Amino acid sequence: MRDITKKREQRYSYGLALLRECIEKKRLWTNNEDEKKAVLRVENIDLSFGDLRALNNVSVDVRGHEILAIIGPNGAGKTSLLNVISGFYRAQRGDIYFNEEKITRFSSHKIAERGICRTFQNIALYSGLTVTDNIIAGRHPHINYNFLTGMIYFPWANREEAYQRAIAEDIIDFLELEHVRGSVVGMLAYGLRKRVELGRALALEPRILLLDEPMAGMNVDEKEDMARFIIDINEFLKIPIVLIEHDMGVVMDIADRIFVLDFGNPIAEGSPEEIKQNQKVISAYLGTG
Amino acid sequence: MNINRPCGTFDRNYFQAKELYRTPLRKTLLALFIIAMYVIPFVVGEYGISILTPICAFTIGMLGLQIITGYAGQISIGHAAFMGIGMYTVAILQKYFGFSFWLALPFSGLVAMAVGIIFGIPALRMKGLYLAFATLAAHFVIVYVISNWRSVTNGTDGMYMSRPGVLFGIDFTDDRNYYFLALTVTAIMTYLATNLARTKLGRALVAVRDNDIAAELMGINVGTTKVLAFGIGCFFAGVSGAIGGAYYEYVNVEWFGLDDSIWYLGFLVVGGFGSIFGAIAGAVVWKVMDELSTLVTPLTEALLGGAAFYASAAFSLLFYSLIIITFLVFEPRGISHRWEMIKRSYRLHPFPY
Ligand SMILES: Nc1ncnc2c1ncn2[C@@H]1O[C@H](COP(=O)(O)OP(=O)(O)O)[C@@H](O)[C@H]1O
Ligand SMILES: [Mg+2]
Repeated sequence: MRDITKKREQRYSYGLALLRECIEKKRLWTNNEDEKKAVLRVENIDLSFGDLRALNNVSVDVRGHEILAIIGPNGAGKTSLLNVISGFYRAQRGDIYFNEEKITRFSSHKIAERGICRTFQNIALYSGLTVTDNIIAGRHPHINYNFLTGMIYFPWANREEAYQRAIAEDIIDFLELEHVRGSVVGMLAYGLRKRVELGRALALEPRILLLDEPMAGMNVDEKEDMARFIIDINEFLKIPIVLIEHDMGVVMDIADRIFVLDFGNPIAEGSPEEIKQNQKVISAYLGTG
Repeated sequence: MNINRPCGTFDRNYFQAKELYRTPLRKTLLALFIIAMYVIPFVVGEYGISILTPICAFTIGMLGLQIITGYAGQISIGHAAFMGIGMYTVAILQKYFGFSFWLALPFSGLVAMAVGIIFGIPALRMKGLYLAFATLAAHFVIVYVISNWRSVTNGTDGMYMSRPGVLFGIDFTDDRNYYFLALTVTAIMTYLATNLARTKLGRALVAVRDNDIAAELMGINVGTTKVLAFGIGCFFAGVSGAIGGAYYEYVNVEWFGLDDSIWYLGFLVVGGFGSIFGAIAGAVVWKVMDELSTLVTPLTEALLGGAAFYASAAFSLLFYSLIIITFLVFEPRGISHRWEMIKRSYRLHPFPY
């Protein structure tokens, strides 16, 4: 028991120290007034696949330091919304602004470099790399040398690699992945792989983190761990988190605001209390609407 | 559990964590291996050198294919043609511009790299089998240009090229000294490839291979990464061609047919995808098989009499195919994987797993 408390304290004193240093400089808000301002604005997004309307005039804001949960039945368009934000799907109409910059037409890797980092509903790790390498691969845009320097392996490339490794170890410590750091991710258990994916997203120095069902298919213990990580990331790095999740218990507990989608239509937005009372949401979930 | 390193080694800082050779034993073994490679020609004589030098050249080419196909996952069925570009670059630069071999060597790589990048551009839009066919087209285009641009390339008659002359008192027209040159270049290229694999671009290559959509969404520019893989891989192929061509002091467009490009891929499977060791192993097995198949010719002569001449040509193909099929069936991950398993069980001895 004492060990756990100690570990917890350690997390608070050192947790993600190196990464925090990197992100601190680029954080999108500084004082408490800014905190309420929208850093990511999604405006009037329409997305269709042929006849299928996946998103219908969806607008949503993400504020400086909040946990925003997106909920809705299967096929509601939650994943599609994240895909539009990260540039993987192109919306037919509408715009996305990140930090007042219009990113609607940016290519995906540019958007990721800007600091919009995400995880995937179906785990999308680099299955041939080890846990550590997966996380360092996430650092890609922030590694400061070109491939020739790497090939010749100049001393400064070596130093840079060691620094990147230190950040990766920082993340590994935080996510409690020490015991598997050398394992190839293809062989890991599902819950662990989800965690590695979160680690890789963290390595990208997120200024906003999009998590697509990070707790799906997990048991209660793993869910609690993951919820703790999400809250800690929100606290330590002071970044907003967008969370898609089906477990209402978790959502009500950790979300600051909730955004509800149903068949591509936004049907409600508000604090957990408001959503709990919302008649439209209840009917959508019970299938009477 | 992490069994990827020898027992009893611990990292005290992050520099140590990235070391390739951790224990004194392994460092000594590597040094001994390199020394042995330099001593061998004094032991094996003319015949040995005539096998070892092509092995060096093919090792460089195989490393290039490993980068394109093994690491970046882009199947290339035109690799031998890029080797040919390296050969012809040296020959042309020497004949028309009076370049020395030393000056022409980097150009052989760079020209192959430029052509490789051009033919790698389809990789921006295609993947898998479709891309394989695009590289197949590259092969035919290159061979077609070389054999029909007669005024420059001499067509199918081939071209002469010369080895480097005397440098620092070393006469490279001597086969043994030329082997030292080839070996040194191979060592340098192996060093470069090894570092490529363990640094920024290497990780990006594997990321693109394993999950290109995730890679793009995680901040890796998949397009440039793929094209860069083609460029670097073809640079290796070009250098390999220059080293191999200068050894024979002659180059002919018939030396790099489509079958060679395909054997390249086949022996990469034998060596093992995705590791530097696998590339070297593949090249060694290839050339050793080559020699074995000529060694059995006298045997076939005894058996078949006059028909042996035709049989021996078919023999190497049979040999090649047999070994590739054997590996595909019994060890599709190649020699390198087998070697890892052996090392692993050695480290875990006396425990079975
Ligand atoms: N690439 C695609 N092609 C065609 N239809 C798609 C594609 N992606 C999503 N859809 C459709 O869009 C709708 C919303 O899907 P999705 O965003 O995955 O839902 P959710 O994540 O909320 O469960 C579904 O009906 C799905 O079939
Ligand atoms: Mg989904």
